[in-house]
Amino acid sequence: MLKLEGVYKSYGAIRVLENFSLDTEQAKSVCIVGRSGCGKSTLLKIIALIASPDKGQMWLNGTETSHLKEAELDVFRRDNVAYSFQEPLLIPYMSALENLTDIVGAEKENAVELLSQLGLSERLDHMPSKLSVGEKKRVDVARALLKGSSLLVADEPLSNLDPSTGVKVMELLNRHAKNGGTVVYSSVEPSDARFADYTISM
Amino acid sequence: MTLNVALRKARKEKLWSLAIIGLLTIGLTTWMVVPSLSASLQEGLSSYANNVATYIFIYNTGAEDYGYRLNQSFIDEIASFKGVREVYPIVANSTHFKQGEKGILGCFSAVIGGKGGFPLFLISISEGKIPENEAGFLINGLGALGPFSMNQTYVAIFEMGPDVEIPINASTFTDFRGREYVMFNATGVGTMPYNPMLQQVMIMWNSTFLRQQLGDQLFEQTFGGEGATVLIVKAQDINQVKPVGEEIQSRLLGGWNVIYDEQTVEAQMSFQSGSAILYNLIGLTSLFSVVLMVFFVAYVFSGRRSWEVGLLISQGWSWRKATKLFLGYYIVLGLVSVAISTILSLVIVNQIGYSFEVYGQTLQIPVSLNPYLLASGVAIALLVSGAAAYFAVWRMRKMRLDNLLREY
Repeated sequence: MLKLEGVYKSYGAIRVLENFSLDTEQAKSVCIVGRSGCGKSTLLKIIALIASPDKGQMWLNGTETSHLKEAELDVFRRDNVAYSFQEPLLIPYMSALENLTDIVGAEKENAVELLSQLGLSERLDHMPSKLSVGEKKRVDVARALLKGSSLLVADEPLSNLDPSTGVKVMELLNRHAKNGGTVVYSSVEPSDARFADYTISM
Repeated sequence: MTLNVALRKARKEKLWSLAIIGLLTIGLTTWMVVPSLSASLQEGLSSYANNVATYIFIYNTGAEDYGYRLNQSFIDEIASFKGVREVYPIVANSTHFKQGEKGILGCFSAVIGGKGGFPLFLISISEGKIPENEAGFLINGLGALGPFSMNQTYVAIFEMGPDVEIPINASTFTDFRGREYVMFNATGVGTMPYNPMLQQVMIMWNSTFLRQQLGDQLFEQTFGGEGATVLIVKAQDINQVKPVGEEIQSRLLGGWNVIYDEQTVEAQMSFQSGSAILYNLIGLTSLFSVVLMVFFVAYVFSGRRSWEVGLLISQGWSWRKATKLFLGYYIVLGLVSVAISTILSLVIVNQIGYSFEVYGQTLQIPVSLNPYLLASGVAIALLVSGAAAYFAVWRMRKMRLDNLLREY
């Protein structure tokens, strides 16, 4: 269960979020749609406990997170949140497979299976420098899926993906939602909201 | 698993890894080599100084025939001086040589070893051998002082005093003044390197051979008896040479000279007080500079690659685990640097050797890697790399997670 209430966030004079509120029920997928620079990534980072709001409250799985200290927040994030970056972010000295097994401690069999489902069975041992942006994006999403956290936050998971792969990615994200998790993702394409139970336009 | 990741990081991130290894290698090599040079040089000079320059020589300049002797009680008194380890009384006497009809010269000679003889351990052969069973002698400082040549045979002539029994089969002659002499053939079979302080004993005889030639009576009259014509005093150490030399000189009457290798004494003492400190300072300064550079690299690294830690933390790594990764990474680099530095240091010290011109010969001082510096190099590498890892993580930990991820 994820709930935000009266969240504000500014970068200097630029106000990115103003009195933003959100209440999801468990097993829901939420799509945040908006043009570039409207604050989607900032919102997702706040939801993923990577950034903190200037003002406002957030509850995740019954815990009010603004009261958590830095060390407590690290532990809480580890136990409750998985995050997929807008620009795919992989450890450059690890292969695609190692970026899953060594970073989030995924079982090798599960990681191989998931990467295969995402069309990367031939790319398991490739280093990030040898992967296309779309391939990196799929590895990044796969890592978030394998982390096994209840809340999965994905920043534009469909960017740089061809339509059929995008559908596959969304199927996997929705399976996570159906299995009891919560998925919050963003997109600049309003049509991408079709995969979500609930859409927020920014 | 974290160490495995650290190893992969070290292997794949060549640029950063090589930069840190390079810096550490430079620092560690300098740290190990420069003070090793200093230690070897100091040890070599000290060994030379203590073995050679700690000898003080006392001789009489006025007695052409070496008739003057220091009496035994005075020698005993010198032996009891503070800073004196040992005294070696030598009885030297004038020996005349000629080759064919040509007179060569009269020069001072002594026998090797035994009471009144020249100490065997002070003899260092530069050519040939020490005379033993052959009719020969050892030349002190060939070509530097005397006209002697190696492997040339000369007629050695000893004057006989009154009432001396002539040895059987000895060749003798009487000069126009009626003095009697014993003479025999002898060949230069070995030389010692030139040592200006030993010039009072230019020829050294095997005592058995000489006793055979001169007979017991003449031998004892010439080289035996109490006292010394030349006294060699061994000081406790290099620092005692000058005070002991000055003390002896103050007790002697005119005509007696006290000499020692003042130049080496001064050089050694000056090295102890100056150069050794300088060498160690160079080693320490270079190490310190490199430690700063390694920390600078760690600083730049933690600034430009903060997203890496940000990613790990955002994906659920604890700071403890991230610290272990960086610690493993830096320690791997530190150990690689130690290995390279050790090999490099061994190669460098094997290429370097000090040599000094000493009494016409070259004193070679080999350089070796000081094992304590090597051990300290390992400790320093681990310490510096560990500290750099903690520094990098500490600096990143001060940043907020979204700021850590901002740079990617």
